[in-house]
Amino acid sequence: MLMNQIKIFIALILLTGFSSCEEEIVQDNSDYEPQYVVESYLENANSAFPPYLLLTKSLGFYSKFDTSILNKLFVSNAKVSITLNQQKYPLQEICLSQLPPETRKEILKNLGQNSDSVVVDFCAYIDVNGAIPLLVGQSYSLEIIAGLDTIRSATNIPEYISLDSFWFEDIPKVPNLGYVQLYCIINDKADRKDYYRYFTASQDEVLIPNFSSVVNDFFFDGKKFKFTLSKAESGDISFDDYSGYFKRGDSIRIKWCTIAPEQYNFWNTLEVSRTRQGPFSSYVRIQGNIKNGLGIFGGQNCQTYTMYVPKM
Amino acid sequence: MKISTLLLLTIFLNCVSAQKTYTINGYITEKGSGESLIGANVYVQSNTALSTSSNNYGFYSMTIPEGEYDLVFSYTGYNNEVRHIKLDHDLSLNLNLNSGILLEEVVINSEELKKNVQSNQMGTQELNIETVKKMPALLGEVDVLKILQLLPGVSSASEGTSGLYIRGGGPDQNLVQLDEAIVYNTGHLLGFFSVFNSDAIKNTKLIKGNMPAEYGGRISSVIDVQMKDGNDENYAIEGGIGIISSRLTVQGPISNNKSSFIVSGRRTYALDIVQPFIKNSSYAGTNYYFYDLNSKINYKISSKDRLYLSTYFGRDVFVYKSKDRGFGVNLPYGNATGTLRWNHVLRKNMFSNISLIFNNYDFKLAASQEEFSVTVKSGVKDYSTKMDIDYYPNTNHHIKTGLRYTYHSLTPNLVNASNGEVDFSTKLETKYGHENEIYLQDDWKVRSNIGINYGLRVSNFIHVGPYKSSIDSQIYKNNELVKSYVVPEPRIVFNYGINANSSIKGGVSVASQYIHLVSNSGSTLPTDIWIPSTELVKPQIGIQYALGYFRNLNDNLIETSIEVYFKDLRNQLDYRESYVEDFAAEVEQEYVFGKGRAYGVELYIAKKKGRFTGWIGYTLSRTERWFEKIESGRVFPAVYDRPHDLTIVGNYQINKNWVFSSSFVYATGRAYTPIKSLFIIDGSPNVEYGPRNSARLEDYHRLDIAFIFDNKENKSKSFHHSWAFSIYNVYNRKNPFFTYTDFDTDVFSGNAQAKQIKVSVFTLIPSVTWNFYWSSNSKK
Repeated sequence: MLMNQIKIFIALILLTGFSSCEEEIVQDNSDYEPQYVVESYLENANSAFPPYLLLTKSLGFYSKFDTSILNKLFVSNAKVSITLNQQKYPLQEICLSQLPPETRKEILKNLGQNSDSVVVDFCAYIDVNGAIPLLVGQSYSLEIIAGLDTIRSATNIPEYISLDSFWFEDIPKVPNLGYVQLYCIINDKADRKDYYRYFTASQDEVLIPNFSSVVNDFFFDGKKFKFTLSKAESGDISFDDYSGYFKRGDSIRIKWCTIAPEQYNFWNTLEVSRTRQGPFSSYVRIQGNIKNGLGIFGGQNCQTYTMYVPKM
Repeated sequence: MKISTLLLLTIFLNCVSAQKTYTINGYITEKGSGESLIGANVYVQSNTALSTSSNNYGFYSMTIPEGEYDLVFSYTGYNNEVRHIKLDHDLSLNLNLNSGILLEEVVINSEELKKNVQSNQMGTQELNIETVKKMPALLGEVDVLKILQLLPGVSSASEGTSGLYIRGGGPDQNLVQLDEAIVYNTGHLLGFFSVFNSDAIKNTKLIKGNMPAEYGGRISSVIDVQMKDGNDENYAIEGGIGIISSRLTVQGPISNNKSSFIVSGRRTYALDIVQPFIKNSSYAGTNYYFYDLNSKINYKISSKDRLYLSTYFGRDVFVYKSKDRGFGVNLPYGNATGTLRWNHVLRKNMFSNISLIFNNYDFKLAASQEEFSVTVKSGVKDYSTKMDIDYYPNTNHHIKTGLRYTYHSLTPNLVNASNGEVDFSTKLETKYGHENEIYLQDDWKVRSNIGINYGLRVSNFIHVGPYKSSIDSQIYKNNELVKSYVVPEPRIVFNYGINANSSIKGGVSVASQYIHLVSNSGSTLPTDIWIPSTELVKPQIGIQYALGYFRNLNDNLIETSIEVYFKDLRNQLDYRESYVEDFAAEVEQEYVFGKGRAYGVELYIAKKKGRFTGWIGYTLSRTERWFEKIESGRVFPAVYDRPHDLTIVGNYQINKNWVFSSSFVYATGRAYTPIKSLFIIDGSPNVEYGPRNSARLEDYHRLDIAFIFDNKENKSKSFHHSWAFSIYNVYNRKNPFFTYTDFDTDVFSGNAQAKQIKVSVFTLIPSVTWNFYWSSNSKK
């Protein structure tokens, strides 16, 4: 990230000397054939949601992109199952429009959305009865049969490595504005590769991942490691000097996960891909783990910590 | 060994001569400065077949039958000198050539111009720095590498940058030398300006392929830059003030005609101007600049011995500070080179040079926020020694032999981090290697119309520990042999003269490369990591075949050539799909290996003398790569692929004081990997890319012009000055510089829009530079 910022800054230095101009590029990709997109996580028993899977289709980059198109992205009537130890567990398709209004409202609230503003009929394949045992170290395989196509993937749920402790410190340069930095300590397990992902939320906001939400332990393998956790910012806000800091008086939640390597690779490449803009960058192909499709089927082991940032 | 024995025998037999001969030798230099002239011609006026040319140190030697001769000494842009000699014993004759102060005084030398047709070289161009200084320049910064981009077969990495793609080769496949020292990073400011300060440079030679056996280490091309030696007759100060930088050069004799020096510096100041405006802000101290410092001294120990010590030191310095966040970044990087050379005339017809060479490219990043800090270091450092011997047994042979040893140490990203309590670091280690090279070549005039330049180079690379094998996890100790490679590299170019003004040339060359760089960007960056050949990374091999027709027209005033080439590239490197930088990982494990090919035809028409000079170059070419692990081995166009490339360059001497110059370039748009689709993850759109390099940006074209005012009459005074007015991109063409994607998407509300935007940066840019020159002698 730092290198990207430096490249961008140097590019800005350069650009300030010249008058740049922009034009939209439009290309014909009408022959594009949509692919299946899978998003599914197997989380340990602490999760607020049962195992679920979103099955959509990709669409051409230059395609018209409106509500009707978005509604058509969801793939219905697929046969979705997850297998553990040769036991197959089918997932059931449920759409928002099938739910009672109160349930619908509650789910959308958990997703951080206002039910009045959501016009897309979300559909998901869900382990409604919570039948799938969510066990650490076990291998899970996914099979989706959609029409004539079969999509497969596999993952496992890694062992959880908890945050050891955390605390807040004022930002020395601007103590009066009430912004604080969150510090954490983790006791990493030695001689193995661990992968982490985190989400944050203030007050009643929904938990969201930071724009760079994953990290591996290559640097601090087996060590007691102190680090800062930045407050995740929603993608639709503009960043300022206080982005990433929490504020005194807030109730905050931190969701800390150990994740499977394939999930780390997926999010790492996805997040880097989103930042790869500019003249000195090259594209990054997002590395999923879905055969015959795009996306991620990832195991994760998470815990959510709730804390209060004391006032001065 | 059999091949080299045969080669030696052939050379020996070819050199045997029964006639009584004598040798004339000496140095050819510029009058007024004592600068040695490289590639100056010496020939017998009545028989131009008896000829030779000066080597890289201005030394010439010609062994011809006893007799009386009128010898002509000539060099482009200089007045010919004719000397009558009676050759009944060996002679030493040093010559000073006078540069043509006024246009009319320059004698057109047809023999020199025939070099295009008669030499046993292909794909070779020499650029005199005076030619370079007359060309339009972006922001007034005269840049020799950007002028090379105007030659056929050479294209720029991206607009405005000095990175070079030569005949489909990558930027790391060019051997860039400054006084024999390899320059690993040739660019300042992410490659927008080259490290070569035009005031310190004397000559630049480009060999696009079929390089003679004396060059090695890279598979694509050679860019051989020679620094000025320093004026050994007069003290002189010259410099210039431009929009973004200023230059100052001081040179003069230390001991008259015995020893001289030159010191030349350049520094940018574009962001120094904003310092007063940010000094009270959170960003106080933020700055960026680069500088270069070239220096050279030479000492003539005797008529047979000369010493040269040349150095270069250049740095980019980037400092970013945000006091409010307690955040700071310090990012210095740059090259340092040093070359100590000893020229010795072993015999009248034998010249040797022994060099000790040091070069270092280092990159450092130090960032801190509160008690957290991180430093990243990378670089490459070489210690070399080499010896070359030029042997001129007669005018039909110029034999050259030599050997070189280089000790490489290549530092990957060494990261040290601290959180204020505990220090962390990557466990990556510097890699070491020994590179040994030996060569023998002969430039042979077989008959008056047939010539061959043939030779053999044998290179060897030894990778030594410390190293941990990624194949079998074996751990190698310091200096323990890990892997050794030997590559024989035969080279041959033949020349068949159809008549006095036209010839056909052809050649085959094999070259190897043991030091590699894969850039993950459109241009070379300071963060790029050079790595050596290891057991995992095999040497790159390039085999080039070329055939050309060369013809001079209008009494040799116009040079034309058409060359076709095919390059077979093996053991090519690229990053694996979905590669993301990871400072903790060995970069060689992120590589995939494949093959490449480049082929094309180059047309060149040049007028090099007269009021109007210039050239037209056109290249039709393709450059492709394929890797088993990238898109299942699909052949894709390399990022260097430019099917059409046209340049038109013109200089016109309007009158004694004004020169008008212009350059026009047209090239097929750059290949890039298009975005194929969008897919939704976590409620946000993400992009899926299509096949690699399967789309192209718009075609590129641009016209630059310059007016140079240089009062020639004032040149006879001790102080004179000149102005360079330049306009880059005269008709304000909005060439795409890069593209980015823009999302305005809210999946839940159903409003979404995705766009791909092209950004043009280098629109019309005027600039002006003031140059001055002072000399202790009124005649320059």
